[in-house]
Amino acid sequence: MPCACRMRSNGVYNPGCFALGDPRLIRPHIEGCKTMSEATARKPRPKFLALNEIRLPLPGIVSILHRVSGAGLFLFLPFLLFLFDRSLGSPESFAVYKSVVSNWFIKLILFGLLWAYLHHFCAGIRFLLLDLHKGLELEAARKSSRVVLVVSIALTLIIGVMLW
Amino acid sequence: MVKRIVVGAHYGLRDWIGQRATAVYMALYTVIFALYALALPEMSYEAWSAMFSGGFLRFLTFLFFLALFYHAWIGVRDIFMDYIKPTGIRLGLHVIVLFLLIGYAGWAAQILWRL
Repeated sequence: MPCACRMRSNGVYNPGCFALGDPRLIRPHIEGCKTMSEATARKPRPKFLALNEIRLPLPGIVSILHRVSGAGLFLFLPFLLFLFDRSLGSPESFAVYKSVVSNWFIKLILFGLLWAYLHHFCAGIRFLLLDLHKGLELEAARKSSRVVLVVSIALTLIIGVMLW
Repeated sequence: MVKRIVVGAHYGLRDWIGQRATAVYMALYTVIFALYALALPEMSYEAWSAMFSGGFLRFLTFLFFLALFYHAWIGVRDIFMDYIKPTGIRLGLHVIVLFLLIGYAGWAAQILWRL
């Protein structure tokens, strides 16, 4: 069997073609173009999904937290608007606002929302910079995502303690 | 019956820019608000309401709320587009969120202009 790809149409020898007996051929006894790697590429690739070993990289963590914090802030919008409304209604409604936010459980929720806002804020600035093609390299992207996580937690602690 | 695809990317750029423009505004507002809040002598009703009854901050705050609701609309829409596949349910949720956010905008205006 002559190999169809031995010669290119311009007559140049095709180095990708193998002679009879070449061990790189799947069936070395038949002259052809199909190598081992070409044949294995068609087989379904093995899946390695060790879920306890797969780890979302840092930029991925920042990204999913951006979404989670945004969704959380959206869900708590009516509550936050209610607090804003009470705080600005009248001296009496301000007292209501005061008593609501002095509850430790409410404080805990507000602490979480403060983190959500600050994380969304910091990660958002990072994404805006990425949109401007700043910090796209792998190392810079990893570093900036670490900065986002650390700064947002630090700011949450500082402001949270100031307001507690 | 004309078959039309009710979802698509043809309206994407305006919202993409809107999401970022509102983000930049809200980031700037956050800094301005923090400066105002730090300058408060005390957290009392008088000081707090006086801060927002100043025309400048009231105007900026209302703009912040409008930016927030538009921004939230795009973000929540994107989340639904990613996770809610049945078109009917997705569109239903979109309408609910839109109505909520428009209502919130009215509420925010009422809070600020009753001062």
